[in-house]
Amino acid sequence: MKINLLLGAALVLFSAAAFAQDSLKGNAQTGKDLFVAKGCYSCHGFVGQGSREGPRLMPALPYPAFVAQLRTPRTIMPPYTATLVNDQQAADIHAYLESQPKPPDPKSIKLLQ
Amino acid sequence: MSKKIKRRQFLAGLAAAPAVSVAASATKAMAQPAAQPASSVPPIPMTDRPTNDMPPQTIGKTGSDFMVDILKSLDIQYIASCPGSTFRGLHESIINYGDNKSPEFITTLHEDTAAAMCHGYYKVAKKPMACMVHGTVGLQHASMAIYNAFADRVPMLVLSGNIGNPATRQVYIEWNHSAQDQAATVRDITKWDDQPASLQGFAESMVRAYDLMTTAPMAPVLITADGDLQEDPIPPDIEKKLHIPKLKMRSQPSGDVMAVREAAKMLLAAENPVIYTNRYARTENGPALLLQVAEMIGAPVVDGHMRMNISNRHPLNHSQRSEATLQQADCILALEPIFLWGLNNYVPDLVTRPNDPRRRNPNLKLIHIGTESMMTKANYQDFQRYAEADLSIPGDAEATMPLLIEALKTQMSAADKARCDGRCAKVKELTAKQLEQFRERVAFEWDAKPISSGRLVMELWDQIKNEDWMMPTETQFLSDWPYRLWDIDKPYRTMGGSGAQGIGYNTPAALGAALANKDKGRLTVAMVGDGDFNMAPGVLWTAAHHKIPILYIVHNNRAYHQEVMMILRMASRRQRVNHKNVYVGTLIDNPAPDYAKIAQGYGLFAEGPITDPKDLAGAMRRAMDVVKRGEPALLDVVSDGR
Repeated sequence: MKINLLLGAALVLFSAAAFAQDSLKGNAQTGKDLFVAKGCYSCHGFVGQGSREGPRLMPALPYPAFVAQLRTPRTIMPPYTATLVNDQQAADIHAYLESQPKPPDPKSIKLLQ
Repeated sequence: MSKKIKRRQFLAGLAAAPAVSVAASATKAMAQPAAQPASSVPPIPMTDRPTNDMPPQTIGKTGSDFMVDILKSLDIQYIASCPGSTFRGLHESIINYGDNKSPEFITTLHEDTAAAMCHGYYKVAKKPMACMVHGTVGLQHASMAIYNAFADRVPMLVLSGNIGNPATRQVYIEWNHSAQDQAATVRDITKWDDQPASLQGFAESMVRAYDLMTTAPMAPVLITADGDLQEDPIPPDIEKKLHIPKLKMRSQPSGDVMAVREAAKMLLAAENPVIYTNRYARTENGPALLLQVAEMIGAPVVDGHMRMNISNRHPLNHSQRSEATLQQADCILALEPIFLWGLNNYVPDLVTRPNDPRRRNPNLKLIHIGTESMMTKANYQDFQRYAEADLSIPGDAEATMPLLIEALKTQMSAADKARCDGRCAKVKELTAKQLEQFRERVAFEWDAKPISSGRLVMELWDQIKNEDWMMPTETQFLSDWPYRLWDIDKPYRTMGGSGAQGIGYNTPAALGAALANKDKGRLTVAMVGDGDFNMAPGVLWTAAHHKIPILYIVHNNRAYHQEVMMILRMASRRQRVNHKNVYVGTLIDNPAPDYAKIAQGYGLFAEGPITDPKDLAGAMRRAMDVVKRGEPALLDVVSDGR
């Protein structure tokens, strides 16, 4: 419940960022490179699957919530201001996360039975 | 020791004795050989030959032979070591006088490996192993592994050489390897030490050391074996008086019975009791005793994994929903928790490092049973932050469990029993869908490249699930997937972590565990980080040389990954624009080490680097075949960070 409220607040607070994305088309391939170069992978995993250190990022959050967490993060994630990740780069990283395919059904994986 | 005959004085005396008597007396004390045949060369009177032509020989039983008698009486099966001149007498006695059995000399390529092997061995065998280290330099090498064991409250017998008498030290090197107080290097991280000046003193100190280190709270002990004491023969009048004390029936310190009764009262009064365990299970009986208490009071268990405390799939195991469980608690029974303060508080890694209380029931009662306060030293801060408890019971938690069970039985009314049974059933329901949820989560990373930790862990599980397996290594760098997805069902499947998080623990400690598992016929699988592996790659040679079966999987994220995250956090907090530099000093890449080649060089079967998850199953099958034949093998798996 609390997370939903926070995300809702983020949607309102960062509507400006949402508008920014409308004019900034994210590039998934560039985003993939940035996901590594900016160190996102180190806590969230190379495909955003999450780990003990950082939550799963897929399916991707709506862009405004994504930017809200990036700029003013909850928990111990450091803030990635526009100085470190500019709006275009944020859009690219978001595009990479959105491009991730749906995970396979665990029932289809023999080793998970 | 007023009657002690100094080595060089004694040997000088021998040089003046008839050669025939030297030949007749220079025999091993333990396995006396048959009488030597008469020489075809007539003996030459000693007085007729220059002294330098006839090096003196040691007659009869030596001090280090007696030291081996002591090691055998303590049933020390293995002694790991790199050779060093300060204990050459004891080394020779172990392999010849003692016939290299009980203890068997395990050759290592670093003293840190020798000590860490003792750490891992104890956690499986439940009996101590010894390591023997060179004076000063060897002990300094071993010190990090000793610290890990100290912080993990695991015993090991450390024997150090020393040339205590300045008059008998050879010029230069023996001075560098001698110390006035050899143990000073590790006194802060051992439970006890001694530098005995006589053989009788040595015997008593060894038995005392064994007694102390294996009585909770356990920890390493150090005994320094003086060089002269090792190498000198034992004068007959001294030898006949030597006595090795025996350790007979012993017990572990349990909590005060009156306090335990109060604990039972508090637990029965609680609406939502929770048990927290960490360094709890001392023996393989520990999990069963814990479950008995948990079932009686209907309490979920949250486990910190520093010992194999509870099966991961038991429905009362709520470790994977620990915060939700602890938030509901109105009474927590903390068994050897290590960090009691950290159970209800935390210091988030933020710039201000705030001290934040966790969300807990305001009427929470805290019962602590453990040995943490029973061995606290001043320098190293492994004793953790001071925490208040409503009832604190110093004593070994596992030894206290039978008292607690008895007190609960005595105090539990029929109404209490009905309430606890009802709660127990509800608590078990809360974990019913957990496994399914984790399977859904791991599916997200199933086909990822670099290979995800979840995929790696499940490919390995497929290879071992029908074996009698044991995994001695830490899992936090694998996102704890084994605890989520495997069936960790037996009380020996895992053994917790390093204690002090000194990197370079997992690779050698796993080999110590594998040595103990070899004696028990169990399969050892170890997943070690590349950072950890690089601290002690020579471990592989020891595994190959002694034919210790173990499957090493290098979880190769090509980095000190914890520090990758730390430096990224620093750089981001400080708004450093030049992000590309954050990987300086944290990556183990460019060139990427080829761990399979390194392993092959040490004589192991090895494959890698494996980069495609589809290649894992075949490689694991081939490596497992080697391990089942009784040999070590290694796979290098290029992996995600966590």
